[in-house]
Amino acid sequence: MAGKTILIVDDSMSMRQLVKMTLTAAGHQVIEAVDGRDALSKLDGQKINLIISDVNMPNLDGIGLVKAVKANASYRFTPIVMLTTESEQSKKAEGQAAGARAWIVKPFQPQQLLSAVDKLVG
Amino acid sequence: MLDADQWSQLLASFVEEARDLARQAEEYLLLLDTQPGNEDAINGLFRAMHTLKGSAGLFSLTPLVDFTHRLENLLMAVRDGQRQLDPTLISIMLRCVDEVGSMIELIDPASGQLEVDTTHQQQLLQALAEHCGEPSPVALIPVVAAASGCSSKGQLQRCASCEADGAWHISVRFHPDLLRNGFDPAAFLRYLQRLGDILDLQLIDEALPALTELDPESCYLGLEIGLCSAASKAEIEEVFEFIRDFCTLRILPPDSALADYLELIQALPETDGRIGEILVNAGLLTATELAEGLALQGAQPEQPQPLGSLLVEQGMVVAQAVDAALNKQQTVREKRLQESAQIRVAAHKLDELINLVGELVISAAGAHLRARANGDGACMETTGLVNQHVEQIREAALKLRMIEIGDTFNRFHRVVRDVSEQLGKNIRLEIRGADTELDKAVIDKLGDPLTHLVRNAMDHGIESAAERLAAGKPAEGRLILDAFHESGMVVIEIRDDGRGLNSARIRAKAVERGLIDPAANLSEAEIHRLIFAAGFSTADTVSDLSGRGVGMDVVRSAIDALRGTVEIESRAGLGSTFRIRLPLTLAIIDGFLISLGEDHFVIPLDMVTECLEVDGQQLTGASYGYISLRGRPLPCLSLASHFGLPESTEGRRNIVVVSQGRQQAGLIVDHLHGELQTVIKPLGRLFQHLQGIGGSTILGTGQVALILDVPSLFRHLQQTVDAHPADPTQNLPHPDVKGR
Amino acid sequence: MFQLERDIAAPRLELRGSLTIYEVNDARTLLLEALGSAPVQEWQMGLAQLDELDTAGVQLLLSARHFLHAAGGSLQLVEAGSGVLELLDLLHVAQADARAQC
Repeated sequence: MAGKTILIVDDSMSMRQLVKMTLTAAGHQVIEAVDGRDALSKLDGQKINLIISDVNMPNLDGIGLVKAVKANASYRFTPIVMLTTESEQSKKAEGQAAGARAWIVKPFQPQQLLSAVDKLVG
Repeated sequence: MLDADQWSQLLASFVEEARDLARQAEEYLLLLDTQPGNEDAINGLFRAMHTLKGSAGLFSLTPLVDFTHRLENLLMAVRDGQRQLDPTLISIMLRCVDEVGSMIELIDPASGQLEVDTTHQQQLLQALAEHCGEPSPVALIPVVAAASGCSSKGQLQRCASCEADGAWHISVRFHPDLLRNGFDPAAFLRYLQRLGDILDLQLIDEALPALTELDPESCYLGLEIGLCSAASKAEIEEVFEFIRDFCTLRILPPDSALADYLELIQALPETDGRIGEILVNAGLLTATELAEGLALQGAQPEQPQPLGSLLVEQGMVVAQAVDAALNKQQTVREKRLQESAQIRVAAHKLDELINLVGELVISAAGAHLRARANGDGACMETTGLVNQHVEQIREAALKLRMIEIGDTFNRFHRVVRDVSEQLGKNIRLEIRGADTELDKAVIDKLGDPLTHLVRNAMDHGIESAAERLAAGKPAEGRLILDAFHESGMVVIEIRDDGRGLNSARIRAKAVERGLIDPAANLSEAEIHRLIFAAGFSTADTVSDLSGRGVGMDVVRSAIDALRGTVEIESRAGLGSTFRIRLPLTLAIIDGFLISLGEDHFVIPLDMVTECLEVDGQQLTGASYGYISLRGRPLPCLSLASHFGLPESTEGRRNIVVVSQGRQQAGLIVDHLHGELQTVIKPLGRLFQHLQGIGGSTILGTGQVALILDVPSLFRHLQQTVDAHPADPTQNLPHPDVKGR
Repeated sequence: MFQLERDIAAPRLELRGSLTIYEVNDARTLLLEALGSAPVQEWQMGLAQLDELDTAGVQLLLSARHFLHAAGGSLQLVEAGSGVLELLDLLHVAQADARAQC
């Protein structure tokens, strides 16, 4: 299947790099954002198939991003995958309430990420 | 259609058959141990496993099917000459057959379910594989997330393995909010294709409204998918992991039971016809099965009872099972006819019959007594005739309960084999008198004491091969199980040619445990008998073979409970013989009625040798003593004194001579009342410790008579005799021999 | 962006742009407008100009088909491009309407 356009939102450069490498190697196109606010600026009408977002970020955290995306008419149906750490399970509930429907726990294997992407938008 | 009871019955029949098959398999294996080339045994063994597997499959007992399938494969190789059955392999196979036996016992008779922990099976299969030099078998629970090995991949055709095992059937119904949450079923479908080949797919749009009523952002769709895949159910479920909350997922593995498909049809919201059609087209069930299943559903009471409810499940599955079972029963029946004309009878039915016969015996005796009391000659004749017939019925009924001890003895082949292996000794079991018959109830309770005695003989009796050779004996030890009838009792012997009992050690241990006085002077026989004393054990290490804390005293109690006795004959260096004597039956007794004053007692007739009349004056009135019988002293026991009843002052007294093996004793009683036959009623718990009483019975007069436990009287007498041996110089009373 | 072009002469619609969950609401309105007036016809929908289709879009098309069937008409999906075709095949959606053959 043709590659998808995926937005990765994480304040950690190494995490963004890991995700980008993994996904581009699989044929997808990756857009990077350093935090929630940055991510929203990417929602400029371009086609985005999937958003992968960390939870803890400055300026606008993952939960806030989810709410904002859901409120955006052109992107309200875009699936969002949250990246959480084990200890952030409470955030999961919050995220779910906001509209996040998929989670991956860090640290994750690149293969796990690819599988999740394929299952959601493949 | 069959109901729950009939279903239970069918399952019970299967369990019975399965037990038989497992037992046959064990017997064949033991035979092959000594005759590795025996083709009949090999074929028989293969057939047993094969049949077991087939039957288990009909009842959807998957763990059993899987396991026996492996064994069947191995046996096929043996049968085709590709593999040899060496002793090690036989040992492993024996354990596998044990495992099969255990699994059979784990089948829940009510639900027909079988849940097992497969760890042990895995270990056994591993051992098999290693022994056969094969790579480890694929685990019974598949783990690999393999891409489909389906040769028809991309062609939407069934491949050979699909034909063989069928395809997965996945049924998904999406939640209305699926789409608006950003999920797309297409993505999951494409991912599913990585696991295997999608052979059929139906998009279910029954619930999809027309354009006018449609909410375009809601999801009204479902999917019915046929998937050819080597993946596990868990792996397939994982494909849908992100949308588990947004769909209803039902996954049916390949080769699901018919009932499962019917249940699926019922559970899905669309019309039965629609789904049924899909399943039929997918080749999962036939049109006939569908029609019958739906018809059944229609015939059910209005309750929304799922098609997969027990009744229909039974009905549909059993329809196939019945056919197959009937076919099999036909062949089994034919085989049985060739072998012997026998009928299986439920044990409880037989017990009921025996009970009724027992009551009949009493009432018939009562009628005869009344006729006699009335002096009505004609009636006495008639009732006498009735009694005759009743006696014949009684004989016949009791014979029904008699089964050959051979089956019990044969089980010990396995025990001896396993224990020999465990102990590293070379021991051969010989079985004699296998066709000796005993009452079933007796045989059932004999198993434990026998096992203990056999293990004891193997553990302590028979020496290691080295020791035996050093002692000039053959390296192979002999253990003989023998059974025969003698003076109205059944005798069972366990003989070994081992080292015999060590009297010195026994004596020392007994002193150590305070069982005897250090200064006591005991005969060899007395010392041997000490091993039956409570708390006695001469083993230096507690060997788990004979069981911790389970000593010979437990064996003794078990035999006592059967109204039997056990005696020992042992010679140092040569071996030991344990001899168990048991009454032929526990239910009805031929007795000799005597009385002490107003009290009546019954003495088991087969222990009565003769009756003597003696002058009351000659008896000293002591509780025991000796009389001279044909020139030899006969130890006698006064029953009245033994039971604390008033001693009779009458002139003429009677002595009933009873014998047990080579021992004889006299029981001093008041009056003799002749032979009778009657049903033994066991003593209530309150009275079970009464010395010398083994049961009670109701006479024809309605009176209660106590049945004497002659062996225990003998034991009591033995103690007193040991303490006060006969004085040859004493002038003993002479009885008048009266005859029986 | 979704567009519907009506063929004056024949019962045929040309679908253009994207038909995904984002477009289905508007698309439904347009479809109803186009089909509602003359449902008892053997309609065709040309998909050549449709560059994006998702399951929501497929669902909408199927709903249109149901609508036409109920009225006695039929719907044929024609000239699907490769992407669209792949999805229709995946979901086993019949392009040729069995009804139309009757």
